[in-house]
Amino acid sequence: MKKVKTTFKVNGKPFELELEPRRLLVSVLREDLGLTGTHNACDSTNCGACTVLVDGKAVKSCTMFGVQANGKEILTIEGLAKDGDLHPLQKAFIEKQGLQCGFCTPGMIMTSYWMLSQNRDFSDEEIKRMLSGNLCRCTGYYGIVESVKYAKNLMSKKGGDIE
Amino acid sequence: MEMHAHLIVFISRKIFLFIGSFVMFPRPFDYFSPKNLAEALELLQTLGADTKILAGGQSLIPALKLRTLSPKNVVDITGIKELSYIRKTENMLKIGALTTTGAIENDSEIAALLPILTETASEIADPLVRNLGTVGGDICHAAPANDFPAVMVALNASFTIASKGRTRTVQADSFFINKFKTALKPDEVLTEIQIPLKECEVGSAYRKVKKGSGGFAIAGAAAQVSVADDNAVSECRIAMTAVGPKPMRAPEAEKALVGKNPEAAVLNSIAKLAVEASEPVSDVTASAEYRRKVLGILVKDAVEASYKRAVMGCYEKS
Repeated sequence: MKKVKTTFKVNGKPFELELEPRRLLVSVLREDLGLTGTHNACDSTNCGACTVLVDGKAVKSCTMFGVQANGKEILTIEGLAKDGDLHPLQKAFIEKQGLQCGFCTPGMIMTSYWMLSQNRDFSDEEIKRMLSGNLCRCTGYYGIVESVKYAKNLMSKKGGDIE
Repeated sequence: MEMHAHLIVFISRKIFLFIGSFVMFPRPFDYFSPKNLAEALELLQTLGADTKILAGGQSLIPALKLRTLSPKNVVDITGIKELSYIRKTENMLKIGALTTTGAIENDSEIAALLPILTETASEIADPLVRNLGTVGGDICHAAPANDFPAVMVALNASFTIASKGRTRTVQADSFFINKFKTALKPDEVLTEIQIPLKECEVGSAYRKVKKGSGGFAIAGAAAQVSVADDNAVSECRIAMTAVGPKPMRAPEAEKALVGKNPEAAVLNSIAKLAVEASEPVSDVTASAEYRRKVLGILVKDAVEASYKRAVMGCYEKS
């Protein structure tokens, strides 16, 4: 088993790592880069706690190898706040109580980020459908859906830009 | 006593940290990431049979992590952009094998031409999985609960298969052999799916029931119905998901529909014939008995929806 040179960007910062091909992206982010905001929970493509954006699309980082990130741009929950200022999505999840224990929250927020980056309107039903790959065992989801809608409002006040 | 308490806390923390650091990962393999199809075919020929192709990885990676599969080599073809496309020709819809199920779900041309593909794609796993999972992967993995195999059989699709220096075409009907087993040889790659586009008089639909939002199909039914000038059915194809080792056709049910209108009594008898053609097994998702019950309803729904689309298609175009 040969290690494979992998070059990619995480939250705008370039990295070059020699990776064992069998290692999952979530472990590379957490163990090699210390970005423990991305959670590993079910480890079986069900719960979505490990959701990150790869080239702008939300994916489950427990179901993608680290070496597959070669040449790609990755955004994790750590990349959302700018200069200590929380992203509107993060503010909204606090404001509308979109979390209780908080374990699923990084995944919920990254999927919501992908959703809102599509720059269109979502009905409550569509928000629920888009979040169907992310499991929360505390909130009952009501607060999460409210948070996404509130974040959309906050962002449109700022001109609607996801950044 | 206090010593003991400290010791217990200490040990349980150690155990907790140990479990917390334990993640599933596959047995070691060699990794290859060809940049184009020619390179991939070359690799597959030299690497030999103990090789798996990674198309989207949403079935393969879980299987590797569970170590139910442990190939020596993994050929990652996700970077081959030339195999991701949706093209319409005069009488054919051509889909590149590496097109993600999410791309199919959100394609407006597909939604207008073949809504069956939209409804199939949008019910596969969840949106995050659909961002990586590919239609070719869904077909070649050939799990009994995968949806596209039955849909492709119902649509009478054909598959273009390439190996080094050679391409061949296989009909969906003869592509699926058994559970996880297809007509693909170890050095071959599915490159394109071709779905014949007919005039307005054809409609198709897929109906399934799954366990939870991201769960596997309990059962599914795909149908394609053609109608004659008098609006009676002239041709019908039915293929069923998760009720046999491969997509199951229902030939008796198909014949029984020809020349008729799908009224309640006709639909009931078709459902019965289709269920008789199925071979469901009991597993962790559902019992065989439950699968049969659900299947009858799904066949009725799929045939009825296909028929409506066939009739409405002509109406809208006239």
